[in-house]
Amino acid sequence: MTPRERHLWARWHRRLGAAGAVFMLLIAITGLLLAHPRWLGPGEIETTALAADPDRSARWLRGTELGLEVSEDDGRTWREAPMLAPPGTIIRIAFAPDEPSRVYVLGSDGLVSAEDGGRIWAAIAWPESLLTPWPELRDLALGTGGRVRVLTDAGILASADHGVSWRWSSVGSPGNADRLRDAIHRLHTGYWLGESGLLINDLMALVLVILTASGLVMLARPSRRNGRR
Amino acid sequence: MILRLTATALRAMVLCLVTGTLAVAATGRGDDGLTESPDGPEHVKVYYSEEDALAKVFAEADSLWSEVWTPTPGEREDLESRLGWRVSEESFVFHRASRRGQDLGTAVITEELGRFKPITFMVQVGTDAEVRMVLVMVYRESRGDGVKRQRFLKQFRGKDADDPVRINRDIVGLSGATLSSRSITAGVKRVLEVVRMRYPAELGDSQ
Repeated sequence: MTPRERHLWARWHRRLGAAGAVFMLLIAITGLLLAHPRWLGPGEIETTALAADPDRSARWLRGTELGLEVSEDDGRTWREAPMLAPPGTIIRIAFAPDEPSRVYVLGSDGLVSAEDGGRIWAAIAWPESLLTPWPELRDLALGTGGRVRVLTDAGILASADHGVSWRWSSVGSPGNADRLRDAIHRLHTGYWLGESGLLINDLMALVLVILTASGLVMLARPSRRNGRR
Repeated sequence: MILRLTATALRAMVLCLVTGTLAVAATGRGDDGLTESPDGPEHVKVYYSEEDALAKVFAEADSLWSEVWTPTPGEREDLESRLGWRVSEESFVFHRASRRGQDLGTAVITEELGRFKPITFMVQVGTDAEVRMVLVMVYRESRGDGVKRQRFLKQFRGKDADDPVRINRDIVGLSGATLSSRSITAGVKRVLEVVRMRYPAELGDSQ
């Protein structure tokens, strides 16, 4: 390398170093701000769902990504509604049409309900066999007589007993093709035997890789037996 | 040479496959594998038995005893109002411990619903009404068991019933185990409230 080339390399090395230092500084500062969001001041919490209490005209419920808030003065002031385990980002709040004290809240991670207008909540459990893989929850609708419908990306979940038991509604529910696709997916990924089935899949994949590699090596090297002939 | 190597490798792979299949079959019957429950497969992983968990949280204790508390309807209503959540337990068991007559606090074994299955864990609360330790005892779902790690559970140390104890507030959820993180967080908050209600004079309020 000539002195001129070395000088050129050194100059580019310095420039890249300076760019890297600026980048590291940016990463460090933004990292500090991310770790301490309060330094940026209180952020506005986005409203993701809204519902009026049919029993009390000035009472509103507001869903956010953090949980549920309630207003008793027609939306002028809001306070957090005590809820031990909010179901993720709130998607929909709905009061039962024939039983206004019964309210349901659908969140990104599940469904909760209250029988007292939203004071004491309880999680609604879904059977794993019905919701595997976990679908994306999209919307909630309530009918009379305890009928609850939850729209998911896999179809409509229906309950006729206030969410005690569930089934897939015949409309928009996974059909045979979907079930077959799911079974094929499980077979393909190894999940047909649970997480432990992955081990078998990995070993089989390793066997195939070794077989392919050794086959290629054998193909590349002329056989001694053939060579003798 | 290559043929011999390939054959040896294949033999090893077949051996691994057979061992793997046997292991899968065996774990299906054990505590750490796939078992059937009425609503689907259950990946039950037992990390601590009750005895092991108590021995860990009360390692210094020379005396251990349990107290059962059945809240009155009024107490239950008060507890539910504080939590904004229905309390389904009829009664609560408090594991107490002492060393040379000195109170070491209480530990409560509780269950909180994950996505589908309950997570069983122990919350130890010190005499200052603050969380000392949280231990995941039984995890039943196929994924999200990262919440058993102290990297996540250490966040609860020092929290008391007046703290929010909420994900995205004072607790950072575990990515990939959002729901389990939320369940553990809710369970810790519930235990703190229950302990405060049961031992208002002995723990915290008297300090």
